Amino acid sequence: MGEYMDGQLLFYAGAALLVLGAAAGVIALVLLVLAHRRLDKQLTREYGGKRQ
Amino acid sequence: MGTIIAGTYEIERQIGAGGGGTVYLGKHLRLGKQVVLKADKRTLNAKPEVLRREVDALKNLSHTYIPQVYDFVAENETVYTVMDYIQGESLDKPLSRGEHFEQAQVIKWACQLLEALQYLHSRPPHGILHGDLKPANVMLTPQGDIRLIDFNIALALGEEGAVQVGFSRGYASPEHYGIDYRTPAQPTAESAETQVDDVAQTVLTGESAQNTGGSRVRLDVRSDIYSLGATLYHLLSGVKPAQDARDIVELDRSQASQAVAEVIRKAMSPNPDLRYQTAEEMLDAFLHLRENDPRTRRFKRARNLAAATLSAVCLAGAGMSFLGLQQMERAQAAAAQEARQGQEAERVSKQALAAIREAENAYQEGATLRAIELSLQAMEDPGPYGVQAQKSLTDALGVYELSDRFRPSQYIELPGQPLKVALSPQGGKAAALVDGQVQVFDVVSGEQIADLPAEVSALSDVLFLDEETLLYAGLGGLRAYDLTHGRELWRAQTATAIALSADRSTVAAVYKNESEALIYDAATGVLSKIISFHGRCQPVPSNDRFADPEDSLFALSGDGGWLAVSFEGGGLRLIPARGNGEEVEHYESSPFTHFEGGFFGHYFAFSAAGTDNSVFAVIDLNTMEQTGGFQDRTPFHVQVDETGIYLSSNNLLVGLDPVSGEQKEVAYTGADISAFQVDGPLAIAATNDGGLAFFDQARPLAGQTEGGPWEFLGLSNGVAVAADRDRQRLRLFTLETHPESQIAVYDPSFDHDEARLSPDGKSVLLFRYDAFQVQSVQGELIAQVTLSEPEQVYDQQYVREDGKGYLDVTYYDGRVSRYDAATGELVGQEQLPPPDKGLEEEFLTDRYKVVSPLHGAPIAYTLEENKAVADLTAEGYLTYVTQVGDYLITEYITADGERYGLLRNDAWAVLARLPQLCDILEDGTLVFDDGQGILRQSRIYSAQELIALGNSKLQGGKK
Repeated sequence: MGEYMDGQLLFYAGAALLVLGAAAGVIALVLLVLAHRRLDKQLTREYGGKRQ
Repeated sequence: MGTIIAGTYEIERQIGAGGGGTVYLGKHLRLGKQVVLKADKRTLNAKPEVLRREVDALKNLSHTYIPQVYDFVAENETVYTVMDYIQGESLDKPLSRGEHFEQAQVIKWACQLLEALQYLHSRPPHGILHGDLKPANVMLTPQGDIRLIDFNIALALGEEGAVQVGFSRGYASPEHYGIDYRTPAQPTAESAETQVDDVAQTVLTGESAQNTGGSRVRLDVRSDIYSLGATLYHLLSGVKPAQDARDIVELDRSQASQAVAEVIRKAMSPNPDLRYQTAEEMLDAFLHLRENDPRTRRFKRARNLAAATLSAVCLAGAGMSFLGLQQMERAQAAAAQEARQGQEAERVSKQALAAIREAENAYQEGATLRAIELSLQAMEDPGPYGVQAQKSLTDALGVYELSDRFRPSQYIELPGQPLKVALSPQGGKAAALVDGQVQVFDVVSGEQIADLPAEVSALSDVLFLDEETLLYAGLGGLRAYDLTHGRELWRAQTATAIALSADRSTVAAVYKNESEALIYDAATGVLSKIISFHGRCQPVPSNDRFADPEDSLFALSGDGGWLAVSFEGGGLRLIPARGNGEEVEHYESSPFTHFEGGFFGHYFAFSAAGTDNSVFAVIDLNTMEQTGGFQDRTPFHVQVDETGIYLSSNNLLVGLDPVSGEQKEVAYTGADISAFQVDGPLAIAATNDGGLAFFDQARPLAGQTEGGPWEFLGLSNGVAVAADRDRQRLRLFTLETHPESQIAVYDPSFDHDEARLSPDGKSVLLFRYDAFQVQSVQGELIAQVTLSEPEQVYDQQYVREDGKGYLDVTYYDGRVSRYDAATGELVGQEQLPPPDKGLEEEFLTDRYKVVSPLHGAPIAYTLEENKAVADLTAEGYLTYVTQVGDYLITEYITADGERYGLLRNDAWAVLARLPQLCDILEDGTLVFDDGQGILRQSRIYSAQELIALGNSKLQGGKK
């Protein structure tokens, strides 16, 4: 029984971690996109458009 | 109309002038295309082939940011270079107007210029150097792009670089001034500095390096790099850079980004080795400004860190979930497995318990082999019932029952109630008449050998002609059947009662109440004589299913010469079975309804019983006179055959000498004998109380059993069979002796409570409360001692010390007399405190203390914690507790004086009963006293040994 409950705990903790990670990932993605856009603007302002 | 040049171009107006010449806007007369004509007087004197080469080089140039050169025309001592007209203005114009350029824009122009430079520098054979890159030589088109103009074709790079022709201050590299800031071979810091300063000073004053008298520094692509850097510097800062490269003030944050400032700084490094070595390299720096910007790097780092962290978190989460799932599955599987194992264990336990119960039942019923088989089955996987299984096996094997005994060996279920039972001469086969069938069984294995149709009558007979041949009242005729080969040997006329001569030569048969008997040759079945009963017949009830065949007498003499027949009405006649002798009518009629008897040699003995009395008589056939006889109210049972004359009355069975009339006790039972069989020294007797007793030379054997009544008995060669009409079974018993276990014999006439074997194994001490005897192990008396004041004896203990045995007799007053157990001599006396009359005895083992009160249950306690762990109550009184290795043995004495032991494991569970246990030697040998003069020994059998024994027994049984 102990092992089963430990397993349950591990499973749900892992799932929670996964969800948290995914949520944090989404938030981070949004923040990074915004930061990238801002940086891009800044750099474009300073260095002009991207060149090949 | 303007000046026409070469008949092709018309000069429209001048649009510029400088050190290199004048620049005109013109038009191609035919094409109408606007062109630029750059007039340069200095090139006129150039050698034609040099000029042609340079023209060809310029005309082949084709690049987006370089105006196309179409033609060179020489006219009026002027060489006109015809090229694309670039609309727009040169960058020096807005600079001079003080206009400010955005860095992004400047970077874009820088990239375009670098592409142009890269193109020029890569032209074969050695590249083309611009040589005078400055804002004035960069055209800005209306579209916002640049065109690099006004490069001097004379600055085509030679193999070792070009030699500068002219330069623009501030934009020109130190090499233009002839200054070499590369690390000299062996410079001194001072001299290098002085040299440069001197040259620089010279340059600054307008003199060329040629005039300085110093060494010439050749220009290369890095010079253009410097000039570009200076141009960009001016564009960004609005200030022309210092002429001395060492005095350049770096661009600050308001003028340019740090990265851009760094690029320009590197491009303008005084030491050409420290600049970008190619236009491509500098272009690459501009193209990767965004990438190399610290902010971009920071962003990427942050992005990567976030990605890595979140990936790790998600991975960890996924991993944990996966592991958790696995753990749950494992736990579930383990729980399921445990449940299955538990169920399996329970099933196995139940199976084991069922097998044990069945084994016990089988043992009780006498099916010993079956009991062994079931016990072994339980032992395979006993679960928690290991002790019970072992005990069951021990009981079935009887390893500790060493006395001579008739041991139940088989229990055979019959399809119906038996009417007759017979045992073969060697005891290997048993036959039973059941419901019109004769069934024959192997005594050892219990397996059926034959199933033969018989005459349906309680009067039908079955007997063995010999070990392999059965004689029986078959359906439709008397038959002789070969059991080995399974075939009929001969058939005769129908018969029920059958008689066989002792010499196995003659068979007599009669069918129910027919008034004649038929005599046959036993070997062939040939009818040898028909004996008429002269109208008389044997008594047969109308429904002969209820007839008792034992009521009638029908017997042949040993040689087949005489036939004894009893008749209805109490008649008894002796008829010659051979020849034509005279019949002898012993009774014409009588009140007797039950006759038994037979022939022993030339004697005929019989018993006859009526309602009121019973007679027994012996008749000498030679004289036909009665030689002896008895009368009694209780019936006599007789067995008369070639072995002797035996008769029982009440509870006594004797053998009778027909000559002397002497009676010799064969058996003495506790209840009246209802049936018996004698075979040599052995006898089996069934009693009215349902008991069955066995005897050897009048000595009762162990193995008394109950479960009767027993009406049919058979005894041959150590095998006994018993059955009755009411139950569908045959019980078989086998004589077991253990001569190998015998260690001493003694004279049992001395009544004793206990027996001990001396340590040297040469003598036996038999003692009771008031006396003891010492005998040799052959039963010879060595000493007998009568104890004084026996009523004062508190206890007697046999003690082994220093290899000798002693009997310590303790009196209530504390006296202790010690007798030598080998000689009976008094060897010591001492006075000890009176023994505690507390009615309690204490025994000690390694781990336990057993307290045995006189009245109450003996309890075992742990020595360590004094915790009660077992109740040792059993039938009788606990006398001894002995530890033998891992085993414990508790000895008891019953109210009847029977001694026995219980073999227990270390947890006090009973493993076996040890009947008649009298002593345990120091080496763990168990000694048994049968009370009849024999001491036997055994060791303790382990479970594995018992299993091996059981398998061996089964194998033997199957054979």
